[in-house]
Amino acid sequence: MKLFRKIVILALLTWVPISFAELAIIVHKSNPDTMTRDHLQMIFLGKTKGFPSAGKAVPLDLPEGNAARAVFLKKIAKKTQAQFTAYWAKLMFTGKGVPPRIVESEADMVALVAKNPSIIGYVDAAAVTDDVRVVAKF
Amino acid sequence: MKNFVLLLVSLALSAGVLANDNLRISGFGSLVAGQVLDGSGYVADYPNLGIYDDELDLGQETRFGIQANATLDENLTATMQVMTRANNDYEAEVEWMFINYAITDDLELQAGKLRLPVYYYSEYMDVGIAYPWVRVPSDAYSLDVTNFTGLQLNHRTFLGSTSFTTTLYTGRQTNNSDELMSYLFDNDPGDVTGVGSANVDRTFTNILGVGFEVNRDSTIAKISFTQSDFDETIVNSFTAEADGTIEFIDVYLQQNFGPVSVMLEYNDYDPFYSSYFVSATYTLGMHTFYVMNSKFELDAKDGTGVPFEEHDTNSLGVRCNLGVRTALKFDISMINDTGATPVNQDPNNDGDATIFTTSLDFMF
Repeated sequence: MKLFRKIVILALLTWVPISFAELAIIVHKSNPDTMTRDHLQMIFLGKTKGFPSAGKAVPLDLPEGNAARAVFLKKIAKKTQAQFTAYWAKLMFTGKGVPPRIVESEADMVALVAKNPSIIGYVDAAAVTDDVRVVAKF
Repeated sequence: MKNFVLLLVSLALSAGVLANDNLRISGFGSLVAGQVLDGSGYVADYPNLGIYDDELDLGQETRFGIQANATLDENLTATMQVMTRANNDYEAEVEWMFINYAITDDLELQAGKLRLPVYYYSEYMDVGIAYPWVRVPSDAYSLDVTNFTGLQLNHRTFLGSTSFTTTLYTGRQTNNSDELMSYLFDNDPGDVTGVGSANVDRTFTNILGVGFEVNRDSTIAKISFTQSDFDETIVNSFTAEADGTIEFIDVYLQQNFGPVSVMLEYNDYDPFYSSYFVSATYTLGMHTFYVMNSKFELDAKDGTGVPFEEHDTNSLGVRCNLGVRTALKFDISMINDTGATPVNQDPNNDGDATIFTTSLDFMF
């Protein structure tokens, strides 16, 4: 029976996806703005190029398959992966915008945001460091 | 031209090296195969003259595009898009080539070769991955002039989550040996010179247009109005010259109800024709199912009561997203031809046809 329990626990540990804490939207420490979800959506969809008061906003994206990205697409972009791609195809091939650049890892995202006051990114809240400011959590 | 394409392709292949902050290479394409199952021909693409017959054909709507987008400075970008179409012998053509200047965050000026934004889908009708159907409805997207060279001013403003986009454009376009018009006149009943001899040159000058779009989360509405001076020279069994003024008005509405979307577009091309389409789509996971009806009507000028050219098409299809950047589509369309001149230009048949089409759309 103990062995059975061990197997069940082992199976659960193996098969249940690693839990995702929370999505943190991060900006440079000098950025004082508070932002609504609508405004964040507009920044990440290229509909606005600015923060409410802190100047130019340049959004960054994470690679496909990243757990934080899945949450970002659902809660901020409010699009499926395919819809997000089609949305940017439409803008890109009509000269109306280019999709956010993709950075390879959440550590890179944090490092870039820490360096540049224009950059806005998102990571798993667990990856946030003291070098950046969390502007919203979802 | 070919050297330039080779250069672009090699740039794309080495994009990993060149993907810096100042240059982006991207592209898209559609591999499209169609076959008329019943009837004698089907015009799937009017502006580029893609026409299917009863043999499976990959050479009518298949197309690839590659785009280079360079940031020159903070407010200035340069964009060039080269396309190659199977039905144009894979000749590379520059579809877009323009400089974009961001005057403010809300206002930008584009100068160069652009797409004439008369229809809602004008600017990305070649980018199959960006819409649910195999093709934009051919009955309603039949304008022979698709591009222009000139200036375009785009302004966008927001009220909450609603965006308002205003576009002003002006320029000119010369279509020497206009493919569609040459084809139509080639088969004119009055033609006695045989196939392949008609030539129509068309020039549109003083193009002046305005577009206004309102976009909310689940609602899109767009209206555009375009006018232009135009003159044409037709060389056939006769030679004719004509000039005048054209006006084009287009209205587009889209409403999304969760997984269901309904689209409606109507346009009137004065003094020639009017057309429309209506479509509903239903998205379930990776699949989007659609139905569509479109209609083209060019009235008779002689008062016989029978329109010179009139046809409508019912389509049923599905788009399956294979991955994030790839979609496979299947479509069956039935065209009902009720005009005096059969749309397939075959005087021995009416233009009724049933056609099956499949496409693989992708971007990179």
